[in-house]
Amino acid sequence: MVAFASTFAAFFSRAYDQIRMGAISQSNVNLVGSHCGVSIGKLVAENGYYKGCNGEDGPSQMALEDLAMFRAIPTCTVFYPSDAVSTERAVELSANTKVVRQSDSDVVTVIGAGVTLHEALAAYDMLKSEGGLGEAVLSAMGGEPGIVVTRLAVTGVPRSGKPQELLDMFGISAKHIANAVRQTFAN
Amino acid sequence: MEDYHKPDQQTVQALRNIATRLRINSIKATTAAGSGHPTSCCSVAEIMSVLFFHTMKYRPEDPRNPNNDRFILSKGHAAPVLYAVWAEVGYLKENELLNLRKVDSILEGHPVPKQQFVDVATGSLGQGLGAACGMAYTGKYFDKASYRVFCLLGDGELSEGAVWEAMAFASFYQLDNLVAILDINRLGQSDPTPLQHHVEKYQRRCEAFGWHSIIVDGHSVEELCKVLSQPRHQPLAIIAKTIKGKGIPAAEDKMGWHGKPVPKDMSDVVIRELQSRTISCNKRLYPALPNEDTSSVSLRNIRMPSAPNYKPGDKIATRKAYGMALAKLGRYNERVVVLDGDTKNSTFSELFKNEHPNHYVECYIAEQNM
Repeated sequence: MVAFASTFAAFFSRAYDQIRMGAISQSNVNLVGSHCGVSIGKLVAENGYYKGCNGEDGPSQMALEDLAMFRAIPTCTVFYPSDAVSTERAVELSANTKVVRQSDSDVVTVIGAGVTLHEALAAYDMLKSEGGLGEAVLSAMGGEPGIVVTRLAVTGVPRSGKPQELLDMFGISAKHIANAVRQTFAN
Repeated sequence: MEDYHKPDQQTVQALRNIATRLRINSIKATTAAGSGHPTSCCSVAEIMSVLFFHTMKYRPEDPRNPNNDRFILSKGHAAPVLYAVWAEVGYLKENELLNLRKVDSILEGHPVPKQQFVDVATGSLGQGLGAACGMAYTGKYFDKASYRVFCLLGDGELSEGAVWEAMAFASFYQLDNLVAILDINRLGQSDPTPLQHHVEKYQRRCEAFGWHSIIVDGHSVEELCKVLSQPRHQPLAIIAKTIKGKGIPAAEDKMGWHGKPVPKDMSDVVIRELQSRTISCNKRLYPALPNEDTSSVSLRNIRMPSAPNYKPGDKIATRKAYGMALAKLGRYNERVVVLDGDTKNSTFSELFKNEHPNHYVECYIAEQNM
């Protein structure tokens, strides 16, 4: 069978030994974790978009270590899709490959724990008007060689709060990204 | 009353002789390796003999045949006895057993799927029954075939919560093609197990979890043959009261022997003693052939029927896209199966369930088992 097993990303941690043994068993299972990062909470529908579950549910429902955890599994491929099209493609790809894990998030990151693509895009918009720095926003979030990488991540155990508050509190909102970029290029 | 064909005395003696040989080979292999768990092997010698030479239906020359009964050694540290039984059926060469744990041998310290007769790696205790549940569920609901699944567990690992997650799953889904054999040898690694030899307590727990359970003398070939032959309408737990180290006089039922090979000078004496217990008989035993009732399966080329159907500017949560993608994939690929831990209305795996309910497995809040 081609199996997909899903739950909130945070709840894969407790099954990490099983996941580890699954790799040793050359298993082909696809594990899918939703609600990564600080954005879980109640659904807020806005124009048909489930705009980032708010952060009210708190840290017990938030996965921050999931990427690190799965990257440490030998033979595991990690997908972290940022939109519907890439999600659908990822589902198809993973149905055909060895142990794969996908991660969904209402607010999704490019690379790095907790940094949101949409925050990066928002930061891009902010910085675009400052001329020429927009590209650098996305590059700064990536691992491109030759580009200075400033790592922004949630450090410490997070807490309940509105997602925008949490993003600000932990220094990974658009405002912080924009500042980091400005500082990088000030040097 | 089910019709039970009692094995004749020749068969019983043959099964006992096989158990003796399994003990001898487990001791030889671990002594040669200088490490391993001979006492854990000795408590299950009769169980392995009966399973592999009387109960299970499989092709010894083709361990991966999809019609074969499945066996999982959840107490993976008893690997030497598993290897010994596959040598006994002729799949492994007997002298290969002495290469246990060597860097260039496939006979690793615990079972791994590079060995053709192993489906899931074990050794991390408590996980085997969950894997067995998956196999049994597949056999009953997806393959709809007659193969049975047998899982041998130690009593130490019954402290793992994951075992009880699997127990609940199996009875809820009425996996009557699943048999768990519990090797109640009383002793763990550093202490006796909490319930020691109170087999009736294990029985009550298994029954509380919805299983049919029967207590047997784990060293009685006749009792094992009988309990393993009778079909059930629920999953079956065989609670086998055994002695850790049975056959090694210095170690029988004694603490301090877990994971200790028999020292060379002692092993010669022990093996000679065991060999003298063999009562010759003319009967050669062969495993019964399996029923041929699975269909061949291709897991290749699982394709989406069409490209993603979103327009730029569409706003959709990725988890909803996931649920929709699954439903779409399942439309054209009947080997796609989806499991969830009671979050299907959050992860949107319910979109798959609504369209393909027979391929969705609700695992409830038991992620280790899922």
